[in-house]
Amino acid sequence: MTSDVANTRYRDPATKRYNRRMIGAMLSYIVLLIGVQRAFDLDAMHGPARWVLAALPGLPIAAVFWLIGDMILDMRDEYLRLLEVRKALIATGVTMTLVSILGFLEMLGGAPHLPLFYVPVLWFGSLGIGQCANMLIERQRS
Amino acid sequence: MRQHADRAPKVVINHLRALRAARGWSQQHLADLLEVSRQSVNAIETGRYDPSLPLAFKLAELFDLAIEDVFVSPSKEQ
Repeated sequence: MTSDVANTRYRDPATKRYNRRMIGAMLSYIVLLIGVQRAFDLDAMHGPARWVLAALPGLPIAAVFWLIGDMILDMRDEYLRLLEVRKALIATGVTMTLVSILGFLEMLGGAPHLPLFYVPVLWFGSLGIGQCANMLIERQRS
Repeated sequence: MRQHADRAPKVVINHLRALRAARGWSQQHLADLLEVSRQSVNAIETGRYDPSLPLAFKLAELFDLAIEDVFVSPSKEQ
């Protein structure tokens, strides 16, 4: 996932750094996911060792959230920073709304269980909704 | 999307477009001088965004003007 805030000429150093680090995080995720699945027979393991290994692929995903926050803090262009913050807030609101409704659907409506792993996936997808909302809000104000 | 006039602060009026036009500068040129994006200059000019004090001072200094000559104080708006 790359940042889309830069225009044709302006390149904020924070977004360049973010894009470079994001590639590293995604490569780490792929290596850890495949590595843990292939290198260890998790079914044969029990207790803390299995928990640690099973949690490892989640660390690069956690790093992605840290990278997004770090980019927002480091951005020099304050208007583009505002757009990024609004996009993330909208994505958070959409995700929390969806998982709240899904939770009640599971608990009371007999809906199938959605693994928690999909919550960050929903959030990343909701960034697109945040981006569309940014465009609509800015277009309306101009 | 509905605007919340009671929540959103009133945007400060500015003379940026006229000042820029008087110097024959494009939005992109001004953005390059300010080290911001062209979208930022456009957002300030069209009243979608009020710059921070450091950016407002930088703008005024670029035009060699006092900050009050670029931005209109809300209390002095007619």
